[in-house]
Amino acid sequence: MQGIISKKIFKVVIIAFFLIGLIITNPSGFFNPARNVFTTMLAPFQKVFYSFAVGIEQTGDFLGSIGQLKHENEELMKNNQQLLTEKALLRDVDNENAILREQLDLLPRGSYELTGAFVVSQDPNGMGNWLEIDKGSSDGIEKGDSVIVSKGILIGRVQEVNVKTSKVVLLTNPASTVNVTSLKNGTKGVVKGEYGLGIIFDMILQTDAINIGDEVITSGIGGGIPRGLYVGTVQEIHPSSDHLFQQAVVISPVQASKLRILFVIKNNK
Amino acid sequence: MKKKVVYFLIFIVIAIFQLSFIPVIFEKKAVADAVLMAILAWSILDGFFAFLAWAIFFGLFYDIISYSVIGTHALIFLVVVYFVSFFSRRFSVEMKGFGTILFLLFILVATLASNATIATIFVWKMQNFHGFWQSFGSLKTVMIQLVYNTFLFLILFMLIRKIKQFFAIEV
Repeated sequence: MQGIISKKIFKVVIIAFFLIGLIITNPSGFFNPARNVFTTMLAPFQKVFYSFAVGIEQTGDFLGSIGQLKHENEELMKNNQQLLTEKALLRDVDNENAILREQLDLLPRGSYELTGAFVVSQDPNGMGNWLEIDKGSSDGIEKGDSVIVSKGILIGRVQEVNVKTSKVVLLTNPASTVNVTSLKNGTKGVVKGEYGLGIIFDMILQTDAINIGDEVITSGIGGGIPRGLYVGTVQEIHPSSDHLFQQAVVISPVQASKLRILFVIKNNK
Repeated sequence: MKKKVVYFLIFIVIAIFQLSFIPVIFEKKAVADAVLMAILAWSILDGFFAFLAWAIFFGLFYDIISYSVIGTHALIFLVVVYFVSFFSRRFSVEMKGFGTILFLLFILVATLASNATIATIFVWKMQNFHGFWQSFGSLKTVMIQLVYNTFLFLILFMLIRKIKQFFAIEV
């Protein structure tokens, strides 16, 4: 008996059973105090490492793309002219919208209470499932808060909140589902992640219209995420595997893995 | 005491490097695993009995700071430590001749075991087993990951050995 207990394989099997038990029961709440302490201590160092990595990455991207810059500049000049025209039209619509909102007693859209946060780490398994930010419950961050960049591009939601840090689940995470609508036709559905590979606009009824190039925004249904946040553009459409719905591949304008600063929308539940 | 402080500091630096540096620099999906390679290097340098407790402790610590399901990395590191010890008792593990092939085998097994464990736990949590291979990674992704991991292993193996020599840390 003594011989068996002292054997390597016996120790390994016992520890393995204990660890599998931990995985199955997943007592993450029990470890939250330890996570609070460690993430608070490590966040400043992580911020330095992350900023350094983004700096290196951006330098590499810049050196690799010098040849494309001239062409892109010409394209941007054309887009700028087009946007100036659209802006003039939208200003008129905006005035009309303000009058209608006043008459209907609606609050102005896009007036969120934002908190800026630095990204300090991200999913180390390359699946692009989450980011960690340097703001937590002490900064008023709450579970379920929406996370955006550039004044309204949704990238995810806060899933776990520590004292000084929070975990943001990205739209590319399969655990993430957000109610959305297409801007052009009002087609409704949900967007969910594809294991870090992209975003799928799912549950689109066969009778609803959806086209390549359509812009997708949050619908606000369910109340968790404000209406009108930009999610991305439809790139590809195909039927779902059971042929009951249509699915569309949505491309987000931001690459979440290279973000350094983002904004959390507070008090918008 | 000196050993505990040095080992813990080395691990913290490598863990921060893994969480806050590597995912930004490396191509998406094919991300190198510095923490896994460090555990592999330590297992070879210290042996099963001297490093088992450290491996479990580092695994649990890394699970906590990387928002993983608690036990995931501890289980992966346990498999790695046992696998290394299984071969170390039977063959001479040195960075020359047949030993080099063993090192490559260790890197291959550690990488595959890590990917498989993480993918299994992830799809089990999601209750969607169709996503296993997407989480595990394609053949191309795994091959690139193996190349990255080999480079990282060589660097970390030499680095940890040098640090141990510098601080005169025995097994």
